[in-house]
Amino acid sequence: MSEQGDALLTHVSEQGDALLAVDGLAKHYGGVRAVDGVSFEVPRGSLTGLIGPNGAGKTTVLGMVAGAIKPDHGSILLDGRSIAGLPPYRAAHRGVIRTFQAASVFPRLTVMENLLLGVPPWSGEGISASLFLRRKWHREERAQLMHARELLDRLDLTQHADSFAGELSGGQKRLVELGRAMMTKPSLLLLDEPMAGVSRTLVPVIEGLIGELREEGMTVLLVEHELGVVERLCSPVIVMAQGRVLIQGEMAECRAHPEVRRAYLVG
Amino acid sequence: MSAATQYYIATIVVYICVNVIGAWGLDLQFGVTGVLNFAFILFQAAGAYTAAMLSLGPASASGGFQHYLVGFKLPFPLPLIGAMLVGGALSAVIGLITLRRLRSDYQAMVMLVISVVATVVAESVVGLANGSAGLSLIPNPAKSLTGLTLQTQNWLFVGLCVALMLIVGVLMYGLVYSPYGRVLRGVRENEAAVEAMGRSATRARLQVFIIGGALAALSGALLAQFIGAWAPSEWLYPETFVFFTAVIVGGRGSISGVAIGAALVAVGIQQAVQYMPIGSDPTLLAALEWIITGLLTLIFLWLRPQGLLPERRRRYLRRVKTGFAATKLQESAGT
Repeated sequence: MSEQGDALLTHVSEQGDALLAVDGLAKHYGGVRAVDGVSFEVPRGSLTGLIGPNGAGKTTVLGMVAGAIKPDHGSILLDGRSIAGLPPYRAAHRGVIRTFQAASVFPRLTVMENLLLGVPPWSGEGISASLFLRRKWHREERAQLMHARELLDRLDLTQHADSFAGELSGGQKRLVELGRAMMTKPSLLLLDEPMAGVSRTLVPVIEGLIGELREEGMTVLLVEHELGVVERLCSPVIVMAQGRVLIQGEMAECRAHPEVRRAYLVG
Repeated sequence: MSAATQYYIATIVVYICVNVIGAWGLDLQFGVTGVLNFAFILFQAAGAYTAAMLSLGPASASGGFQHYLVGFKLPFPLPLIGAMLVGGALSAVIGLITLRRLRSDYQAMVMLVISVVATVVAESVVGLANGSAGLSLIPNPAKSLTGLTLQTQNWLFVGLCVALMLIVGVLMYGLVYSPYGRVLRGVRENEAAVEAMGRSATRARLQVFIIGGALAALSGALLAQFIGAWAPSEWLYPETFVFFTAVIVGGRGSISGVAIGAALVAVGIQQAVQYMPIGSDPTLLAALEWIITGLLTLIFLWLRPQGLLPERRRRYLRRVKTGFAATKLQESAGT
């Protein structure tokens, strides 16, 4: 990491109270250093961008924060508590919720059911509840349905509530995935290229939605390829290349950084 | 009705009930949750053997004509309950070994191997369950009731099987049509996403593995009590695929569909073959059964993968629309 990058990093961490603090994170695949000592922070309530050329290790970092990939080294602190190496479902219990690069819905479940699975694990979905407490979970489920219904209205998916998620277009699947993540009320939302595979008409819709989440104070870490989107939405921005963090700061500063220019041109 | 006809009908009904219970167990695992349990028949066998050993009494009492472990003479319904417990426990052990670390296609391979190995062990270790000769003289609980005609006893057992099938059916509906069932279907549809939403896919798989194993054991126990005998030739690994065919033909994840599939495939094919004008060579008939079973699987996977009665789509739109109105009414009435 460059000296300037280090300086910026301390600057940011002094400034804000960090929800997520990643330090010295590394993942090697055989001889390939996919992620090679990455440190950064995501300030609480920020929409932080994680950008970089292909193969920079962005998705691997995201996967490690979400628990899908076990890190070889380094620490991941959420609110000061370590979540490194937790299995994905345990990371989700802590409020770390992710979306996937390829929109990842439950294809043979309806859109409504996809959203209902976003409700954090609750007492009504145990075996005994399913057999003996049907009245109870039915009642609780109604509140969930209302919430899901409001979300569907917001996503303009209400008329698709009873469609199988697998029948929707790529962009609509993305909306379902985002809606499902929003149902969880995450403390940290990890979005992995949410515009990928989305039709041009829906890109601004999704961009608007992510902007709204920022306004609502949700902490989001956004992995994105499209620099324009990041420039419009994110602050601060972390730039990665070849498994390392080049710089963390505002988009304008990052753009001006010579190493960033080189990484994007070379990558 | 002649005694022979009565016996024939009773037999058909018992076989349907037994196979429907078993097919539901596999449906919960494979149809709903997506676990490829290629060792399914092993759990049916475990139930059959357990029920036998818990009702035959000590092996020494038989004059040493058959050898087996344990040997209790427990009254009804303890052998059935014991069979389910053993089926569930065996599932837990095998599930803990296979379901945690392996990818699902490898899980399937390991299951198949376990099934084959189990047959070899049961055949060669005679002290376990009398080797390849198997166990016989397994008591039928209805036949221990004195003072009844043979036919009444038979119908009593039929009633027991039907009652148990209905109970299992209600339990299946409870499990599948509930938030729990939604998580299970989530595991089937997208394991990574279900984990990202805070549910452990391994835990869900293990749970249905155990419940399904207990149901398989129950079906095996009833079958062994009805036939009165149980041997390794009853549970060779291809028998698992009869249940898979039943689930695929009936409709994966569909409870009523799978019941129909089980009746058609596990009982219907065998009966239909009897009436075909191809003679009565038992080898030929058995071969034909397998050919039809295999063809049915292929035809359905190609042309109608959702099965005869597809899994029902859970509709909510109307409910949330009317739900809003109902809540508002309640609120205004309550204040």
